[in-house]
Amino acid sequence: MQSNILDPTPSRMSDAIPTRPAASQPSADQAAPTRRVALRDSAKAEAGRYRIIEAIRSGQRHEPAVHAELANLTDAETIAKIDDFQLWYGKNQAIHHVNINVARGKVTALIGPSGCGKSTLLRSVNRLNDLIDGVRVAGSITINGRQVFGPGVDVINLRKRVGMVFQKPNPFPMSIFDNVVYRLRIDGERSKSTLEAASEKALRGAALWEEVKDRLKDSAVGLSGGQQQRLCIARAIVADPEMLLLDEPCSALDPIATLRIEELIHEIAERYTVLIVTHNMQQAARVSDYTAFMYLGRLVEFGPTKLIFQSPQLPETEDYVMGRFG
Amino acid sequence: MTGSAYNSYTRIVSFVAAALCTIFAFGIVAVLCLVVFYLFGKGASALSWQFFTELPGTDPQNPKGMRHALEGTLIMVSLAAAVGVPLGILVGVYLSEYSSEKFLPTTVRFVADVLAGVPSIVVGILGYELLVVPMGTNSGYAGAAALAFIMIPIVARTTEEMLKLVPKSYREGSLALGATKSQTILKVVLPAATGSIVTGVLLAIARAAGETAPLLFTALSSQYLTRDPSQPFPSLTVQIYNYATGPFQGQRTLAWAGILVLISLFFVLSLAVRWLTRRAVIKMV
Amino acid sequence: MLLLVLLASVVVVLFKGALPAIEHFGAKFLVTSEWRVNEVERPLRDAVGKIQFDADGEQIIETIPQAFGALPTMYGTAVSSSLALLFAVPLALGSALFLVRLAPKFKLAAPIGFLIEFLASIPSIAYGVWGLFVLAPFLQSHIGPFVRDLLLDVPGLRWMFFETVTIAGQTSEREIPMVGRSMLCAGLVLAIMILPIITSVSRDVLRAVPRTQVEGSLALGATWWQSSWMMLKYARSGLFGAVMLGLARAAGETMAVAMVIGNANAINPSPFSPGQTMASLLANEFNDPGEKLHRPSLMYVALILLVMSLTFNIVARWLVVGKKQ
Repeated sequence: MQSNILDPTPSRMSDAIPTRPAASQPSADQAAPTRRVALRDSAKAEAGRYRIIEAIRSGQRHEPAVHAELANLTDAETIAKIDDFQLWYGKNQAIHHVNINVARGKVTALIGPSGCGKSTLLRSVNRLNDLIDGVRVAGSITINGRQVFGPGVDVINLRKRVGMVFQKPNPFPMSIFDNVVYRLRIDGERSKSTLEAASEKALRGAALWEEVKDRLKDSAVGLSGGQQQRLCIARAIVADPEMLLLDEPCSALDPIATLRIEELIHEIAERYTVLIVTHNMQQAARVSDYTAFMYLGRLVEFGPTKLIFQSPQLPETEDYVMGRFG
Repeated sequence: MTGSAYNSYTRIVSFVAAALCTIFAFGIVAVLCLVVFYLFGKGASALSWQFFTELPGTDPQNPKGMRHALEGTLIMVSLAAAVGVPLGILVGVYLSEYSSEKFLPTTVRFVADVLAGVPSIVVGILGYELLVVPMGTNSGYAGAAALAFIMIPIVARTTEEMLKLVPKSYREGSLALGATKSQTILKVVLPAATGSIVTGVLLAIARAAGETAPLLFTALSSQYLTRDPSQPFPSLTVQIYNYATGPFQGQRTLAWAGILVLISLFFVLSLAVRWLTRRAVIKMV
Repeated sequence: MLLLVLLASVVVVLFKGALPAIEHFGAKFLVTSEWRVNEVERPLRDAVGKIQFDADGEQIIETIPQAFGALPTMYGTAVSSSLALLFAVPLALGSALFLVRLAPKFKLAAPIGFLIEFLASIPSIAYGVWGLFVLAPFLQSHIGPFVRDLLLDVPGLRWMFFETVTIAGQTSEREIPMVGRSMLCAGLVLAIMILPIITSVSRDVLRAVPRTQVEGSLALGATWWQSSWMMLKYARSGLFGAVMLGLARAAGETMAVAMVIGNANAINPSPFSPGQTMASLLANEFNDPGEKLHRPSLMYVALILLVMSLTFNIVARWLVVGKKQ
């Protein structure tokens, strides 16, 4: 199933015919680009070094390198399954035939140069892309075996099961306490003691309790950027979501606030599976267990973070994580 | 009430709210369109060629036309524009281009906003005290001055907004070629924003042409074709007001026709403004 | 500079014109409700309404001096504007939400937006003529009686339809006639006039709400209405500004109101009774002033009107524009 065939034109998933047997470790020469494309990214790049990237650029089929450990995850170990997923904005295809298994209780990072579709993919998991006009999808995403797309799916319930934290902290214009319990309030929870208990638990979970416990009634907008972002994390975990989506959660923060959030991600990952998008390679290396490298809407390589950063299977992945390309 | 019962409750609330918002929007448009269509219909049956070519005549029960009022509005608005537009643009240019000093422009901008909020009837009283009393008679000049008073803040603020949209690189490019600041403004900045400034001017002219209250005490009105603005002066809006509140059926009929002409004028102006702003935006991009 | 001179001249001229009235009435002007343009001479009556005679059997004539108080007109402005807001604000905010969050999906935002802007530009005299010839008669013959039949038995609402009057010492209750040209009619016409303005300003304010706010609440599983409520909350100061802008327009509106409010210079609690606003009073009386203190009193009213609508405008602009910078 990790075999992934690319078709340069938008097609429905049934049109994608596997022409190669499943291979967990396709070597570079197994990819089949024939056309040469000039590479401007790196003068050092030897011609033909980036076989897969060249294939993607010329719109040809390619085989992503998916490490065996992830290819062989059992259903019990998998919380979310992104299966041959494609997405179009109007006529432009933004995501092509992506397969990613998100491992339960782990941190999975999506990396890649801007425009590679990693944020779009993340926002597909809780269907936030629905807000944009002219979005079409094909393939499937499941969370704990339940479909994300499909006719009978209740988007509101889906979003209640999946927490999300955005690039820029977006506290609501109300008190810290009201922010944290917003998720419970929209479910009709009115009991003061329940709300207080839940907010303390969530704020402790987001490592913010000690800093704000004396001023829960203050406006959330008065907090520092890092505190606001941890508040947003508390808000997202207050109702114990099945998984947590983080969309470049530190990109608007200073280095020290970033560090605290990264520590926090480690801690929450034990309880909530985390899928995080980041453009910061070091961050991916620090916080994640698995890393997926995407390029121009395609998956290039997906494996344990350690291997991706130390001995990736593809030279382009190696060069990208070393900052030599992209 | 929690759990799924509450869930379906919130969804019903949400659906009802969305439906209400939709109904409100269409309701507003429908009601307002009904009003306008009613005015159109009533006016269309009352409108005749005479309206444009004839004066009220000697029979107050059956006035024939409003040519004098149309011409009066045209003359007074032109006079007001001749004074108000250049002054307004000057103030706007000052606000946008010379606002490096902090205090004064902020004050001027504030004053412009405040002036735009002066109730039009108060403008009329001001015109009466400052011009009618010293001159000893109601006059077209006083009416035009009151209208200019209303136009200046509108023109000034739109000019400022539009000039601010002109990219900084235009100014820097011109200054870098050795042009002085005033040359830059006259030859580069103003031409780049002409389209949108015209829009602002049109809006101001429309506003002035539709005003009634400031003319009540300044220009007053007249039943005769007069081209001498030092005398009491007719205008479309005041004439409509007088006829609509007058006792005779013939006068009311003419008032309806006047309303039709007025609204048609505004519709054309709205279209023009929309067309101009679109073009202006394209030009900027 | 020019603008400063203009603004200063407004204030100075009004103040100078109003000075005799200010000196004569002072702040009492704001709280008294008599409006007697000319001195009145009438036979003196005692408490039960009997005409008094002097020792020679002649009627005693009392002279009642001119009296001016702005209270009825201030009351009229406040009530007609409040009525207008009451009708217009929910409709305008709902439509603005529709324009921002629903209309783009159906490609309706541009055409409806254009219509609303056109309707906002129509001169008030047109709405006034419509109110005078269409709405007022309709209120008198249909809506008024209908509402009366509907609410007559509701306890606590009797004051809307009956008034107590004292004639010649006798107090009696009588039905308020449905006149059409009334406070309610003015409120409705004003509501129709300010609807497009409040709608278009609120639409711009709501459009400026950051995407992340809406997405943030949607991502937590909020329904359309719950996330819209979040939007309204985020934009509340701007929306309040939009409402203030509408209020300023309603309070300063002259012609339309003068045509439909009925021009009765007294405080009548019923919305079906005629009233008077500051602006309509000026439109009606300024051109034809009585003697002595009449014109200064009108100038005093104009001064109050100016101060009031400037306050609304400044607050509104500060809320809509100032906070953005």
